[in-house]
Amino acid sequence: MTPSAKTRVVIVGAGATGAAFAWRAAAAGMDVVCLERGHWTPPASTPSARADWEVERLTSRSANPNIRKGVADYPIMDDTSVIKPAIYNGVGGSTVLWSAHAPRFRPSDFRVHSLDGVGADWPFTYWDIAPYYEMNDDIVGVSGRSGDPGNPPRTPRQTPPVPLGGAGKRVAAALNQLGWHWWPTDGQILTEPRNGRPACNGCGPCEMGCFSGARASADNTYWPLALALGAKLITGASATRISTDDQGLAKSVHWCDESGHQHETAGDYIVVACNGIGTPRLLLASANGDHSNGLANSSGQVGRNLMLHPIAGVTGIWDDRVDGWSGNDAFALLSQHFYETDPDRGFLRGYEMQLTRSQGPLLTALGGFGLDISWGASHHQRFDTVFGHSATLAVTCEDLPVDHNFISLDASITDRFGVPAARMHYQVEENAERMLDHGIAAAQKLLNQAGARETVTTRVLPGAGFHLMGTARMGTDPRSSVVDADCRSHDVPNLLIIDGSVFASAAAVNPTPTMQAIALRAADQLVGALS
Amino acid sequence: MTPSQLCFLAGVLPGDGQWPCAADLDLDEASIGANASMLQAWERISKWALPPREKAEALAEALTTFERAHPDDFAQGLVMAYGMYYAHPNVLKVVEHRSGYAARPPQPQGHLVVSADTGEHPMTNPAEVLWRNDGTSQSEQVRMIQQTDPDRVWTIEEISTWPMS
Repeated sequence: MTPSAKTRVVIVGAGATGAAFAWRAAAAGMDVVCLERGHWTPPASTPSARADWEVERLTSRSANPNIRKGVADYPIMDDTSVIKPAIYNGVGGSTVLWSAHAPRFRPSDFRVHSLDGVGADWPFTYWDIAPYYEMNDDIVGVSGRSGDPGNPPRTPRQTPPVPLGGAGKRVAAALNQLGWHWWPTDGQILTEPRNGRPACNGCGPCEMGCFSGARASADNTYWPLALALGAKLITGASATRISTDDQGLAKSVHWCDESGHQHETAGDYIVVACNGIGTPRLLLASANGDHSNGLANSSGQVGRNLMLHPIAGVTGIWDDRVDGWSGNDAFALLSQHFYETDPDRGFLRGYEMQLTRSQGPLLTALGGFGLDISWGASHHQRFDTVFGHSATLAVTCEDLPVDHNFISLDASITDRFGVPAARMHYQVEENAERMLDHGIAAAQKLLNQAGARETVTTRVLPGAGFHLMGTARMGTDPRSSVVDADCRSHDVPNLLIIDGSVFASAAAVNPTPTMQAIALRAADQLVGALS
Repeated sequence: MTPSQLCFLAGVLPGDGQWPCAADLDLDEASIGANASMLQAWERISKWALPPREKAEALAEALTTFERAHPDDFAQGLVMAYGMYYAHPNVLKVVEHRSGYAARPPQPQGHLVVSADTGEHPMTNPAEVLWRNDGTSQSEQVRMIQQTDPDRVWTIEEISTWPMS
């Protein structure tokens, strides 16, 4: 069967992966329909041009849906998790509110069980996915510099790296003095105009949305291309369940519009791209007589193996100004010196240190990144010594799949369409705890070497639930995994899962480029299978 | 603004040198995008019995007591107070004067920094490949090439020959 307009693909979720898949499938001639519970988020609506922008960052633009409480958000019970969820529901998904840090997994990340005896191997290798990383980079536009000895080669980056900034230069010099690896960070932020998008003007708060469009998100990269190829996108469409036919195949997606009216959209293939929380929620809520444990869940692995990244924040404070509020706030450089396993360190796998900049006046005053700024008579004295004088190293630790970290349904609360809430169960596992100890000490040493007069540490950043992985993992064995190497359900062959849920391991880097590469590959594998 | 709310402002942000006292700025709750929980906490704070701002030590002591007794409301109240304060043009002028941070929102002008200029800080061990061999033949081959020719410019065509499956 050659893919054609008769092959209908229904995608649930218009975020980073749903958009990439839609573009690739539409380019192959498929009839693509995407259902998105949220709406478009116009760049001009980004509050960063308003005086109260930092308040909006804590409220209407909070990454935590339980705080934001947007019309498209669903409840996520998080009192059983030390790290709180950070997702966005809308066209572009969580890339609307993200920092656009875009490192890649390393080859060893795909073979953690073979190399280190922990977690699970992926059913493909880095080398299989490398061309899709490149394809994704070309679509989204990546700033950076090729030649990093810490990673396999890649093509020249689309634009030069983001500026190091005042703290970045000091930390880079210190890394050289210590003999530790560092490299300018790959980011999905343009530093030169490209494809109608402008260069970044360094305004800072990428995570509340990009006013200018210099920072990539799926709504300003993939979706315009996919729509031009004929893909259809229905917004305000909240999927409630996926139904199956008497052959055991996925038949259609049931969804509600914002008025509560029920709809059903049938497809030859159903593609789930709702993130590491939303995807297991939908699959578990789709239980029926033939799939009593939830759809695609004969293994019992749907919702299990939740991996985040425990991230420590170690902030350096310098006597003189480093102007940390200038430039994109979340990254300037990274060090992967402690990335690969070294048994002498007392833990397996590793971590990276990512130099972020600092925050605006309000978040600084409120003590962001562990800054100790009390209210009252001493407030301004302390504010003066830290604002514009600080930068933070984010120590991003690889997470391993463990039994006590998972997503379940919580029927005590439902969304307004009657779908149970998701419940997030997460505690930092033992290996990561040891890694945090090592990483915090390394970050403190580095900042001291860089001339910081003081460091303050937040052991685990509680709001860092943005890397959601593993809850419908891929593998070759249907007894221990949910999808195969092509992202197709072992149980339901015409059901694909393409978001971070399918990750077999978490690595120690931001997952979005890997998620998008997997989605592109899955689309090509499907097209190939039909050809 | 109620008297208690003004006392709260005066207690948490009493001012210092160039920094004005929050209670003197005619702050307006409607000027910021507060959410419902912030506004509800702010409303509850309006009912707190607080000493007058002139009795600074007593006010600080009373606020400490309220912070212990009502930590959530106090925290939300701080966001309200700081949110109004640090968005006020007079305060932003002080911030600019003392830190160089421009007294305006981040957009549309941005806060551009100078170029990356990584040449100033050449990377460590640029010729030493640091990523781990994953045990595949591709890993062996690519590592060898990267080690011997670290400055090689790779093309998408070359990378497209890597897949194993």
